[in-house]
Amino acid sequence: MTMTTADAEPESLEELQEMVRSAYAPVRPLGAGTKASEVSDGDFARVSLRRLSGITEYQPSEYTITARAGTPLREINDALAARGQRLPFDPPLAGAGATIGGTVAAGLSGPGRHRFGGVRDFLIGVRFVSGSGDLISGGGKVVKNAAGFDFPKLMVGSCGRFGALAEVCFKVFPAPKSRRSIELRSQSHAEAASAIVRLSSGRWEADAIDYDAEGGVVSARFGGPTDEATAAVANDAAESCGLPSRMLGPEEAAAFWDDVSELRFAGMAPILIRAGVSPGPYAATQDGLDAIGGMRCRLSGGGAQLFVAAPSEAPKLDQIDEVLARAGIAAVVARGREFGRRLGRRWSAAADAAVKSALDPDGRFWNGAWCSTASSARTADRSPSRSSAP
Amino acid sequence: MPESADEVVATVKWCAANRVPFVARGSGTSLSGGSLPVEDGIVIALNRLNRILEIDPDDRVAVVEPGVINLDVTRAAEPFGLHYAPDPSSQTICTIGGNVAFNSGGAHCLKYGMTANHVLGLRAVLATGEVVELGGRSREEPGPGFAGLFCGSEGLFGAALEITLSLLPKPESYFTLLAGFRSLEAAGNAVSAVIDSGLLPGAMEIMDALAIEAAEAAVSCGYPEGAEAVLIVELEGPREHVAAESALLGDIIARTRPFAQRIAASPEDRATIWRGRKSAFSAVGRLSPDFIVQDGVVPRGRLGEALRRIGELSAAAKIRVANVFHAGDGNLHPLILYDGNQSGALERAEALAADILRMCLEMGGSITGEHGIGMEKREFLPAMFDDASVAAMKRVRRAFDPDMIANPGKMFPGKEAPALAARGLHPLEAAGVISRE
Repeated sequence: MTMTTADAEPESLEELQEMVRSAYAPVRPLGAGTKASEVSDGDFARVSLRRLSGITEYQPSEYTITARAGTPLREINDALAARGQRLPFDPPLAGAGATIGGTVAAGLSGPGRHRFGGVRDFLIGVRFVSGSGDLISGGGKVVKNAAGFDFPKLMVGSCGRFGALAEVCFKVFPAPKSRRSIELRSQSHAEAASAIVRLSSGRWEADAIDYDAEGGVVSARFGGPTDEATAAVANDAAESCGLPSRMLGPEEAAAFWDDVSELRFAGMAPILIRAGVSPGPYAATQDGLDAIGGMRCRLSGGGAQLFVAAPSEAPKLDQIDEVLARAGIAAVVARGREFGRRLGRRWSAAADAAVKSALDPDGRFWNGAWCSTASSARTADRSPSRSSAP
Repeated sequence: MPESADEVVATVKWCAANRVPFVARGSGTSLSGGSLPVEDGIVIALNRLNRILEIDPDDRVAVVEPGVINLDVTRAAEPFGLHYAPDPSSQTICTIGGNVAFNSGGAHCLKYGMTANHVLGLRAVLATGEVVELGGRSREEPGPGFAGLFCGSEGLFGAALEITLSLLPKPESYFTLLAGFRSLEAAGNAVSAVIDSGLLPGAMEIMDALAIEAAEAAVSCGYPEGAEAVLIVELEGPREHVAAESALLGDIIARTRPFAQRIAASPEDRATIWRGRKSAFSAVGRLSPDFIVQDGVVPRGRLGEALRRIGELSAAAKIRVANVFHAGDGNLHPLILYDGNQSGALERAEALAADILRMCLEMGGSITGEHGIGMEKREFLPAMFDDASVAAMKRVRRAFDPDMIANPGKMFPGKEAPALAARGLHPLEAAGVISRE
């Protein structure tokens, strides 16, 4: 389990607000540090939210759960499982101790995002501390709500730059009664992408479809009401793809998807990149990355996100940046020393600057090395760094 | 009426330079008055930007201009076995741009979410005239959720010029059940039983006696006679799953003892069952010269209680209320009937509508499930969000629209924007061209 080295660990909401108001350096909110703890470059104050923890409301029949941002995913998953429910998007790194707040801030979804959507599609309410130290609410606690601006969606992937999440409310779903997983062996990235497209557009409604680019294996998971129905659908899906296939046993499948959710494929790689992709152009992009070499790649979420476990040598990252940019793909470092660094296509500077100026005009939250917005003297004002510090 | 994105941008730039307010408008079906014109401002009608630019069956995306009609996206995706899930029942008329502005819902929100859950990215012109790209083409775009923030911003940031939508495979199989109950409470309890069983239906809808009476008169849907409430539950998915689930659903419903029940035996049958529900809003317009469509949310488990209280409020005010709603997610649509020719009737109806909203808030729900704040509910925004939150929303709005020229007077309370009073049936509903939920 990763330990955070925090400069402060508020024990209450009021303490957190006070810390933001009086911090000596721009604040970096942290959960358990499973993704962002290695960032050391910069002048900032780490504020850990680990003590702002606990499920505050859980109403299974309303399909909603509310928890403080520092609540470990494990605790939430256990509470939901006890009532036959789950967060369908398999929030990653639960085993490593990740928190629900960190998951939202990093915008990180697991393989289950394929069927019903990711973090952003299940987050329905947020409360966060903005740059003024005020507690701001967005969304609500009911699954259907169109009031006010959608701050919940905004906060997903915001990496603590607009505010510190204090409490989040999620929509949850019933867990399927039965599961089956299949494995397909492909000869090429193009063949794998075709299989993903076929599985995604057919009748079978897979929960999850992942691709191990090294091993050439496409894995798909199906959830259904009975063992018989689920097995029938899974078998039919496998046959339909016309590739060598097999059904995984229940324990094997559980272990496999746990590995996927814990991002174990990345091993000890110092940098883990997450790119937003789609199945059509994927094969060409993967070929481009293969040409750089020295990386392990996994296409997750039905061809929606590409994880790249990379060595952190600067030239490699620059080459990856170039391949992604040429393909029009946006990416971000999801774990490691350069957490939050953008690669490939950059997102809108104008929108980013507008939101930053509204929610954190004095730059009390650390902006990191990835955003050149107008800032006060307190903001860590660096141009995007291309070289990794020793 | 611009014919291209460039013309829209040029128009907005002119507005910015001359500080002229504008309202970007699709088909104007907003039930909260979101597209009402503003004094001394212009309306930028986006209906001519109605091209579907791309359907990509591999990526499962559609790229469309804002004036594209909602249902036309599904029509274009159909040949590929795909569909566009958000289906507000004004979908034969309403535009994607409008759907984006108000984060439109529909009958399938519990399972599939709302418009924002199907918008992957968009290009928009901000009120300053600057053109921005928000989100992208991937379902997992990194970065803060700017596209998500733009959805439901009710036109207060600018106007979308091009929208990238997610398409889903069309479900293989449907199981549609219509049950008649002797009380609304019984229908509500049936919904709870379905939810508690772990089933996730595609849709669950309830109509009360008044709404049923109206629908029957309008489209002869043949709903169970004498029902105080009907419940429609629809399962969808692979045939093997639906077969297994329908057996379970049948058991659950049987135990709630409806006095009548019907299961769709064919696609035509299914359409007939839905026809009554989809006609409800327009049909209710025949019962009364005018009506207000209210939109509120209560926690689903308190639906029975909410309906009881609406009944009490209605009786006390001596105003009839027909109830139609998305039972699965607690989204109520009380239809408040009145005769605008009677002096004071509109005001009394509005007062009842406001009481119902306050009730929703008291119960921990929302002042709007899918119709947004618009003009209609501005004064209620502070009841849902405290001062600091409303102030933050205002600052975000000013950051995108410093001069407040994009759809001013909407969503936030206090600033007056003179407009036409809108009530009763939309002219297209009166003509029987559209019906809506």
